[in-house]
Amino acid sequence: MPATRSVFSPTRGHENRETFMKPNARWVILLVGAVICGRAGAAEETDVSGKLLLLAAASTSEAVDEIRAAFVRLHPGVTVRTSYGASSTLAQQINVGAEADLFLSASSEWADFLSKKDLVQQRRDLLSNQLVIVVPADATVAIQGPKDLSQAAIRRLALADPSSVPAGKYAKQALTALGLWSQLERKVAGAADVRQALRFVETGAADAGIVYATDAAASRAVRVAAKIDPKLSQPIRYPLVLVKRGVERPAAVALYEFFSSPEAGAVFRRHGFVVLPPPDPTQP
Amino acid sequence: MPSLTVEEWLALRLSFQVSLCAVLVSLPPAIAMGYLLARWQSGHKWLLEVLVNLPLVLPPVVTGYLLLVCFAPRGPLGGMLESWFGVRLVLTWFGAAVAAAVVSFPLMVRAMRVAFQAIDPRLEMAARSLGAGRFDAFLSVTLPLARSGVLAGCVLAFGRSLGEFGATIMVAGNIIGETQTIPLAIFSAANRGGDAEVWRLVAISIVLAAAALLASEWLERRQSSREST
Repeated sequence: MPATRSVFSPTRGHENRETFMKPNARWVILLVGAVICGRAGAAEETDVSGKLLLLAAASTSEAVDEIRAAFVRLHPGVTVRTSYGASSTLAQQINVGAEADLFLSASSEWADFLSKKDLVQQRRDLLSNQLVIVVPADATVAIQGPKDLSQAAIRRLALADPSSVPAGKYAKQALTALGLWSQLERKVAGAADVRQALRFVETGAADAGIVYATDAAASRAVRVAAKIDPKLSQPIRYPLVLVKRGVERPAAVALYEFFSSPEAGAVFRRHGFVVLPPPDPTQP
Repeated sequence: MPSLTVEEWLALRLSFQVSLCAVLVSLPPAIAMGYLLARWQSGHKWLLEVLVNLPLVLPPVVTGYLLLVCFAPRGPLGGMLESWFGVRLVLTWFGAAVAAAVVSFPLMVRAMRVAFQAIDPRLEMAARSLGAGRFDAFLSVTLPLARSGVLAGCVLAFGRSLGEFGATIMVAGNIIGETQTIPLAIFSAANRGGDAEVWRLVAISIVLAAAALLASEWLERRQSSREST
């Protein structure tokens, strides 16, 4: 439960934005704070500035919001706007010419799509995730591993749609590798995305589900019954893309690099992500 | 509404801005189309009707995708808009307004067409026999008589625009304070798992939608009572 969505919240970057609200005490405090930060930033001559647009997969929104706020605290001259949605939609928007600077995709597929269109200036695999089997928090069924999903007590298994959503694809690959897919297929309830699959389990509409560890961590109504061996599916990757725009954008590069910083890594880890080491230059 | 966050206020204000703009953009063509469909008698009318009503039944995501492709800054139409008028639709609030206008257009036309159909064409003929031109007769006789129906169409389209999600997220994205309307804010809050936040926004949505429906119902009733007197 995010308790920090109030006006006070230091994690949101609204203080530089014009709003229609009448100024009250909170705003005065925030504005004074912003002015002081702005002065401090102006003192550093080398600091970057500008207005950036970051497109990120919806499943990363909580962590990215925090990282954005941390970045803006370091670089008060930069305004970072975010737009969260399905990776496929975001990639299409960049493809048709949206003025985006960075793209954090929930699968390699959409970063590859942009690479093919020659819209990638730089990219790296930033994060990974872990698939887990979740059951309602009060469930009594015993599940030690994927094999236990075939028992009769599990009537519905919630997955993200295995035909289009990455999380569902990975789950199907793992179940197929274990030789379980053909018997489990009939029980599968395909959801539009992982969060919806999670809702199915939370509400008891499904007796179990396979979701990311990050989603399971965000819910108190489910518990993790077992982990899925990552070797059973293709690697789960979240590539970060610096979009090619044909102009020098030091602020965009700074934000791109900030995502690899220990500070950003700590935020991602706190939200349950696996942070991948920076690429090894000795390897091709 | 004591405890709305800044983000929620921004979404609420933006929703009104986008919906109002959507209604203003589609009002002139909707009046023309409603009148045309009410008066025009032709074997080919069905084709026009299908075209007008298409956004009503198409998945909004499809409408959004078509708009995104058509108005892409790199595309011919989007490039023209930008170089001639300096207007950009992709990832801007105006894009959200255009998406909402397209999706709500059929509802607006429908209400206006019903209102125009109910007005006796002989009234117009009388005006014209007294020397008024076609356009003049429409403006001074038909349109004033149909005003409640026209207004009902506007309110209905406004309500539909407030709820637009699928086409909006495709064209305009989901940027706080710029394109994040109430439905998009709900989407984002649900993704964060913020239940209290989701419920507040859901409550606002229900109240606004119900108010728009009641208002259009009342206006339509006023229109039909005017016709019967």
